[in-house]
Amino acid sequence: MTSTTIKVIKPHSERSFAEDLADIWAHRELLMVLVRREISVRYRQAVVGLLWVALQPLLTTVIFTTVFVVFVRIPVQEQSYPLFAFAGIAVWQYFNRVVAEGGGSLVANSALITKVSFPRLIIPLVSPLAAALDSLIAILVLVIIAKLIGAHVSWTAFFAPLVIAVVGLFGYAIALWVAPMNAVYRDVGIALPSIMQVLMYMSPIVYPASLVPEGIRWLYELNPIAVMVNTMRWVVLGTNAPSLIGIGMFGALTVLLLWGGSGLFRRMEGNLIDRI
Amino acid sequence: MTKAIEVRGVSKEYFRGVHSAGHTRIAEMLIEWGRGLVGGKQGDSPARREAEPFWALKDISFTIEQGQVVGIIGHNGSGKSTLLKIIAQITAPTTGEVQLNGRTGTLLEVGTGFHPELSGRENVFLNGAILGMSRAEIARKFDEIVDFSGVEAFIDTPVKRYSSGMQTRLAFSVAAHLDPEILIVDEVLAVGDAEFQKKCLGKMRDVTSDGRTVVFVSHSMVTVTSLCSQCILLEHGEIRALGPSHKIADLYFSEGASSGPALGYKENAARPGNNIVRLCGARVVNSKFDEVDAIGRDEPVGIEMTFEVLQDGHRLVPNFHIFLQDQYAFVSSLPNNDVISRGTYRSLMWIPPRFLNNGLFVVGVAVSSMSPVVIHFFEQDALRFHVIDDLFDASRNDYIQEFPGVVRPDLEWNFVRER
Repeated sequence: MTSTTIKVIKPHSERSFAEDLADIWAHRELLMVLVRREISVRYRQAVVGLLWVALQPLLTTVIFTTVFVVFVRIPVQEQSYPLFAFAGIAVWQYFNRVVAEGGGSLVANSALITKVSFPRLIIPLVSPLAAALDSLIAILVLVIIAKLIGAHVSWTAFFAPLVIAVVGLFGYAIALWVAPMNAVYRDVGIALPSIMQVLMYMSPIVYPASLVPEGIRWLYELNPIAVMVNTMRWVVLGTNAPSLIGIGMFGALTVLLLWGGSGLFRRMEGNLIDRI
Repeated sequence: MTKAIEVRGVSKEYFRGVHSAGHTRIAEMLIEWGRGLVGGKQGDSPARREAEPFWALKDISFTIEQGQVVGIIGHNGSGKSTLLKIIAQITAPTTGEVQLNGRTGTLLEVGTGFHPELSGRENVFLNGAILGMSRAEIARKFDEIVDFSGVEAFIDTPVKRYSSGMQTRLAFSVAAHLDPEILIVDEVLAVGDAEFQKKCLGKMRDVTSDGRTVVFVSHSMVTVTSLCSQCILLEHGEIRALGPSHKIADLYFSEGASSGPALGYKENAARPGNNIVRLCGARVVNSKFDEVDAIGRDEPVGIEMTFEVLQDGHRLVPNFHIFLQDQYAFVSSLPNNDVISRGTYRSLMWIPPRFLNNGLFVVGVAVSSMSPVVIHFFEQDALRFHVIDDLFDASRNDYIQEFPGVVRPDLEWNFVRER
């Protein structure tokens, strides 16, 4: 056997962002195996299996429709409320799962990372990929329901997978910060669900942005979650497009979070297992 | 030869308090930070006081050549697991660096990543990928892996329905088919039933005779001397010794031993004895009469002493006292009670092959007169030699742990069916 593989182990990893990406690419088979494990384990023993993927956002939509439309009677324009809510909830549930599972992934996989060496960066990447399948199915259900009730579905719905990819990337960027911090300080994992709940009600997921006072609505719509949710509605249901400033800021924030998150991750991963 | 692994000045610091607690709480960090703000001295918080640093490894440097099979041995807490985790790239060193030249595979555990809900087949692919095999490589070796494990009938059953023995066997099969240039192995061999343990060890021996570089961490000296040519002995985070395995094994068992396979005295005045007889020298030899400090259990061990008789007319009996780690094994003396005249004599005793247990033996050398009993000299710790066992010896019956006892002769057994 001849080989030119030379590896130097140092106290602190001196890799760059580009080398991180190359590292992930080199281990893509392992990544896909872990994703496949996640997916098949999730639905292996569930009787209705993949049906749950559609049922989860549907059920939430029914609850919020009952509350907001039947009890509270919020003013709903242009689109029917259930479709509006379903699109928001589908995106939110995906984002929430990526952050929560990705953020807890290092702790959840501690048995793996204390025994085998591979780029740790792929661990928080498993959830975005595995959950993307669920998210795709949910959007497909949305399109089918919209067609069935005769609502407008934009041809741009074909770009929905792209929107899902962007949401996943943004969630991954946040998970890169949360995962190592959570491994060292468990408070992070405990506080996270509350923070996510606050974020959900700060965004136009189950109620329209028109309910927000006009004076601060521009600020409200710069919220990255609002941008993601509104983009999905725009692409699938043909509602108003999010502002270019909002999209631009979202893009810049994603790059910043990814760059900073991978830097933090890199700095912490070397000694992580001593502290998990 | 080229270097496969180069370890340069590696140290590892741990913080006792924080790490045993598992994790720090943010509240503690904030309190600490707040104290700093109000001018208090930082480092007073309970969290910090608890976090007592200690060095698990201190300035470790060594080189492993390509194709060498090296054992890392040490008592609990010597730092051997930490060193293994650093070489396996699981944790980073605090200072220093390690260079690995070649594709590296790590086996710190059998069945890492196995998922109980998945079938045996799925787990083979999962575990293989985790260990660093490509999908194509696993597919190519799949039949071989399943064959080796002996669970082919259940390969499509979820692993949670397997017995723990079956799981272990399947997991080890995957691991055994890992094909890296540098293999890093922890004591994963001590798993499964006896028959499978032997199979694993056989596979390990194939691997180690394959020209591959292997680092093997163990506290079992029998396994290390049997599998590894070279050995590194760690003590309190430092390298106590490194070299051929049997020499390190001597050290491991002997803590501060001074004697070796040969004893000689240059000056007459230094010779133990009296005005009747004095000891000139002693040695341990193999069947070719070479002085050796390690002998296989299958070979005879010769123990020889040379002494000078200074007066005529005494009945002198040379005798050897054999100990294994402070346990008296036996004493043996020359069966001769004749009167000996002045002169220099040499006396050689043979211990038959397959008689001693494996381990480090200490030899006391004496000459005495029997009636009345007079001990002319008795050098208690005159010689040391190591008996090395073969793990695949038939008398072991697949048992690969240490055998108790100082001797392990082949005895005659009868075995008949009564009714």
